[in-house]
Amino acid sequence: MRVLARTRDRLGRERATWLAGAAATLAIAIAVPVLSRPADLHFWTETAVLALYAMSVNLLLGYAGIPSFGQAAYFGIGAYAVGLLATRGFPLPLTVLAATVVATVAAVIVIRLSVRASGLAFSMLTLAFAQALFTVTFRLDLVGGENGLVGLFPGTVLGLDLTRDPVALWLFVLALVALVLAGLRLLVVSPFGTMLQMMRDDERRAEFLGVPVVRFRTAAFAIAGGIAGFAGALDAYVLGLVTPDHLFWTRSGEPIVMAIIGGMHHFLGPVVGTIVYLWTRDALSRLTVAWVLWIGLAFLVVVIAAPRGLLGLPATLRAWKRGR
Amino acid sequence: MLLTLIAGLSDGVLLFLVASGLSLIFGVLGVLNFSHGGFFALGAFVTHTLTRGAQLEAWQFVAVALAGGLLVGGLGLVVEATVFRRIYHLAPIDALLATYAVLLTIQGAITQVWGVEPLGQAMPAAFLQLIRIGTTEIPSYEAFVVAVGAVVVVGLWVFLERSDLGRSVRAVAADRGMAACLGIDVRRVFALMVGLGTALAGLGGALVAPRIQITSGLASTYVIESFAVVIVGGLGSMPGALLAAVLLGLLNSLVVTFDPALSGFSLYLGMAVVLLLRPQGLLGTDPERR
Amino acid sequence: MSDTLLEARGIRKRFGEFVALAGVDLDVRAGEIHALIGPNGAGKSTFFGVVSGELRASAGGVRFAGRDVSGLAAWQRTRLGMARAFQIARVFGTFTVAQNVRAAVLAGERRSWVFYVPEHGAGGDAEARRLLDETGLASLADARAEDLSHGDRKRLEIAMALALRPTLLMLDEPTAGMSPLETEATIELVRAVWRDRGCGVLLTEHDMQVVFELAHRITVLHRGEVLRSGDPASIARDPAVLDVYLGRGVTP
Repeated sequence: MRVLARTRDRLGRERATWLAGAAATLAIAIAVPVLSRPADLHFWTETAVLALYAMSVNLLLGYAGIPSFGQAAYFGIGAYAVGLLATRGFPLPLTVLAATVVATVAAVIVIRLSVRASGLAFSMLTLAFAQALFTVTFRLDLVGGENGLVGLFPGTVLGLDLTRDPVALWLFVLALVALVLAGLRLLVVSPFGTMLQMMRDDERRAEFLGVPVVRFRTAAFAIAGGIAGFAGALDAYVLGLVTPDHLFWTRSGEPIVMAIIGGMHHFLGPVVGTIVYLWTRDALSRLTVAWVLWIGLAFLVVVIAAPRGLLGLPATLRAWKRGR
Repeated sequence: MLLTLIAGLSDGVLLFLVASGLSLIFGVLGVLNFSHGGFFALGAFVTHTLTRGAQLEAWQFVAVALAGGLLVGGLGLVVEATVFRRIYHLAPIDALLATYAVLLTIQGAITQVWGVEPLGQAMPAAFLQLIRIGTTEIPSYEAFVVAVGAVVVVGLWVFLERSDLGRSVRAVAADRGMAACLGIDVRRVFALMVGLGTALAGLGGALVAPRIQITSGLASTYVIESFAVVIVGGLGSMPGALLAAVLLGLLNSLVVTFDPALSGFSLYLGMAVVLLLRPQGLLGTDPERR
Repeated sequence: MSDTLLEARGIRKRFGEFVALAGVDLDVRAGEIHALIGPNGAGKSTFFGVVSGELRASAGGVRFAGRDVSGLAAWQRTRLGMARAFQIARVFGTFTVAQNVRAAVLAGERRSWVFYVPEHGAGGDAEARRLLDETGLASLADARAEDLSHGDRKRLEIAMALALRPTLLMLDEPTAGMSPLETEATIELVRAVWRDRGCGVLLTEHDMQVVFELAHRITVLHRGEVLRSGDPASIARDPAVLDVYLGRGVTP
């Protein structure tokens, strides 16, 4: 233990965090395929993608204090972009890139339109856009209507056969997710991240310190939308298909639930929350068809008794002991 | 054209039934109740259980629908006492998420009790008939729904504007601290409004049961639509909710006659447009902002 | 006048039917402490809102440092040198005191868009420590801002305002809700800040002791209009002012 503390002091806290993160990523990359069955590997690959999605939602919710209930729109746009391009023969790097760009543009459009709304009206507006998009894709033949688009094969990238080799797909996805998380980490501990948190705590105060709040909100929304689109694009390949379900409002609610379960004020909270949520859901759904009941109750308990989530449990327990 | 209007009106009324409860609860508690859709779905399921899906006489169906609404309202009271009481002190977003948790719970409970298979409810024979108005024939079911809506609107108006209890409700909605100082039992008002609101949602679910497939998914679909109505009408404004419900219902009906594929889309588009141009809703209070 | 820092002319503000400000003219000269006083409802906070950019005036213009700022947003006016402290102190609750001040320094140095370096590495530590010392908050550096007492919060707000190196410091009831001891400390702080930095100060207050100890000029607002404006001595003697606000028992 003391060795760790000394290493931390010598390297500086942030650098130590980076080293730990790199080491953990490497360990996870190797351990998961080794320790799990092929069917489970698919589950963990999907989890990695959804964890990234949850991180992007938490950039808005936990860091910037922007309660967007419509992130599924960008997740879904990313997935559908891949769906449309892949079924027309475009290769993976291009489709994912295009998907991210389109999702980012959509996010910018929405946030620029919503400039005058705030609080609940804003949340509902983001929800409205996502639901509107959902109702459209449901009946649009171009995107496969109710059934969506299938047959989305990632193909071969960098010599790895991602379609047939689940380990290759896992490593590819994990590498991309880790890369984006690294970028998010850099963002969140930088002055830019500080500005977002200032806006979260007191937007007016930030405004009166000379922070151009609208521009930062736009930037945060664009980044979150882009990452959500990127995650959606990866999801399309991991699942091999995209359906309107990608856009349904519950797809906006899930990452919020996951972020809160993990702890929305902690960097890796959403990741922890995603793993816990998906694993629990998987296990519960084998036991009972009414698994939603237990998830709902568990989430209720978290919101009421432990709003700081799992990573915030030490703080919650300390507050309990102090009798607050 | 009349057919379209009546269809839109009846859609609007159904929306209003659900939204009115939501508006009542929001006005008094300050919480947008995500779980409201759950009570709506419960109304449909309870109706099925009471009738076993069988076809009834019109008056029997009405009785069952009312009973269903009351039962759901009772459940609402239970939920208020056990769950909602614990979330009043939370920040708005946390309270919102808690009600979302309740929605999930209700959906899960529905699956637990009634299983995953969609259920059906037969339309009472009387409602399958057509009523002739001038040269148009409209389904009597829709006329019935509109009539129910009218009764509810009048009933709510009389209650809120003319009764003592209604006055207490309005006082609590305006300023709960002050209302408490005036000796109004705020907790009782909370409980009552939740009971009434959820009962209305249940009634809506019961009424819509013969027209749809009864699944737990109803909860997630209708809750967002009722949110749209309340937001568009203006939070806390009951007349606003009515206006928004009717307008959105009519809009959807008109759009569908053009292109059935656009059903539902107009609701959310309408919601987006109103929120963009007038964030406080049609009849909501105008906040002073730069 | 070249040494006029802030110039408000003909400021009117209506909220629907209610007229909050009915044509207010007010100057703040460079390096002066100007107090705005008046009974509750006179329009002091509304005036602050209009000048700082929080509210849009129904009529009239504001000039700051020689340019017309009437159309500028609050954040733009802040960047020009206006720093505002609120009546109910607004601080970043989840941040520590030190983080609050450092955040203000970062914002003031326009380093907000830097996204590639950790916040610690972006500088501002030394400046933050200096500000904490200047406002007497050094001992509370690691306390969470939301845990602070009311008086300490207001001091933190002033520290954050100072981090912006303002030419005009706007203090909205800086001693509201403070004990006599805290009020003394605040008076000392404002005086020290004015002396060391030479900035202009516009403040509203109800505590006349504070006003008469600090102000070089006083403007009295009544029902949205300027009643009187001038130096403390003449204001204290003015019969109209005494009638409307001060009462006849006050001694400056």
